Amino acid sequence: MTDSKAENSEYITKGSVKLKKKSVLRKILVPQKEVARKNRIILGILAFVLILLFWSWITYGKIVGTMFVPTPSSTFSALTNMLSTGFWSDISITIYRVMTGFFIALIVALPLGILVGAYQPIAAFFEPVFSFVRYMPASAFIPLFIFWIGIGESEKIAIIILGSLPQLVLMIANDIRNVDQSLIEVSYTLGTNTLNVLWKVILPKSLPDIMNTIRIVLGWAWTYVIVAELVGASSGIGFSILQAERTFQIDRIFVGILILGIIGLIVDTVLTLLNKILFAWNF
Amino acid sequence: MDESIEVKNVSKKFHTKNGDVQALSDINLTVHDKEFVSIIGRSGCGKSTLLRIIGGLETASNGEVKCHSHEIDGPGSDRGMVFQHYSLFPWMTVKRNVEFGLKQKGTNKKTRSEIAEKYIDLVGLKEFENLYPKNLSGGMQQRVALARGLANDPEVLLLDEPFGALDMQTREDMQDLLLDIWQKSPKTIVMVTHDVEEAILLANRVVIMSSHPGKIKKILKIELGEQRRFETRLTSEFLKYKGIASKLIRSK
Ligand SMILES: Nc1ncnc2c1ncn2[C@@H]1O[C@H](COP(=O)(O)OP(=O)(O)O)[C@@H](O)[C@H]1O
Ligand SMILES: [Mg+2]
Repeated sequence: MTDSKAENSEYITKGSVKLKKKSVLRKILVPQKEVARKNRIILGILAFVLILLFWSWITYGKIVGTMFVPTPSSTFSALTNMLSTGFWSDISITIYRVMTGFFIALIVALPLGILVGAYQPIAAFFEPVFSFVRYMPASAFIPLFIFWIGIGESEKIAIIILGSLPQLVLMIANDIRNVDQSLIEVSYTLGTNTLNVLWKVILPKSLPDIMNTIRIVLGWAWTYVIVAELVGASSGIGFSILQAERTFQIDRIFVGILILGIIGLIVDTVLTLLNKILFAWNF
Repeated sequence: MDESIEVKNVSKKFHTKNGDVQALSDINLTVHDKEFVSIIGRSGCGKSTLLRIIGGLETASNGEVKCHSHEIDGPGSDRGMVFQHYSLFPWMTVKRNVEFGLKQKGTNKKTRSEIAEKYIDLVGLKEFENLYPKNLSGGMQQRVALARGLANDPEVLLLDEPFGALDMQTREDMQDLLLDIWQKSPKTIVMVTHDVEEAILLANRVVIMSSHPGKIKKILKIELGEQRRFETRLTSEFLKYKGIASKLIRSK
């Protein structure tokens, strides 16, 4: 008898072809297995294409009325129309609100989070309060803030600060705590002391994680600003969505929501990239 | 000979949720200047705890520990440590890792660089000095950790199973390296290991510990001469020491 492997491959029946197909899928779907960068990008784009196809199908195919879902083309023309009639200023005011509020929150949260993470007495004092505030939805404070500070810019910014500050403090504190004890210990035996170990070891080690925390919480800050703009505002992306709803311009609502997603995606990608460039040692 | 480290009547009790653990009981040990001492014993017998107490990372419940006649009060750069899992600073290149201790001391940049290069060369990592730790194999990372510990020139070097995570071949290479370094410029070294051969090959004395509670069972003086090599393992004296030590470790 000849080599049994060769013999097997000669007699592939229809049944075994099916089996072979299944094993290809099995090969691709291995938990945690890495996928080539190129394929990852293709798969990501594929999802967007499928959504676009589905959207086209239900609108152009008249499965859903354009009263409820606008067609991709009318959404696109609404976008160009809006951009030429002042939508840019709505976009920029929203970005301005998020960035200002988030930046103020970050300036306070960074040192505070580091201290809470590094020193247990400070954590014991601050953590319960921040954990409590964290579970009070920022949007619930909108009526109160309007009552206190009116419906100007400071109210929107205050909402964002309130929403992101506790999250930032608690998550940064956690990033600091995640630094391996053995790294701290070895640095003591190399001559650092309890004061400079924070700057020389703990902080540099946790910086990529802190950067990641900033990226995540910034994403949440986006949702707070929209809520704030839906209540008592006269500009911004949230406001323009509300305006469109009042005038039944469903395509303009779509534009507002899509723009939010696109800006969010861009910011997220830039921060992820920045993290990889700044902290190459970590990737 | 001068005493470098003195451990007198040291006990250590850990208080845990499931009650107290007597990790060490009545330990007495003197390590002389430029002596190499290995500590060996079953896992959980308190080897790391003893080393950490000398390193100042843990405090003794009873007794006293001195380094060059000074009571030990916390960790310091006079007692460098190398751990099993390397603990390199991942955001620093090999060279900056090795320079770290010198920088803390305020050594100027030029001297720092020279010393670091000398030790990086010594552990055979010259071409790798600008890489980050994550780009190195386990054995290479441990070489860096060793170079980092040596470059700081501590009075005592404390090694906690430094080669425990390495494969056998690499481990033997590292033992040769350490032997070579120590023979060229003797240092006070205390090394914890669970490898009997490693303990005997490198040390002037081997401390054998028993567990629960951790006690010193016996201290073996190893007289294999000054010039030891890999082949020393094959000599009959070496095998004799190995037999005695293994029996002592196994006996209750
Ligand atoms: N931080 C700790 N808290 C509680 N128990 C500990 C602690 N460290 C060590 N022990 C206990 O002390 C004993 C000795 O541990 P260790 O010194 O790590 O042993 P070895 O290094 O010889 O394996 C073990 O029983 C261990 O569980
Ligand atoms: Mg141990």
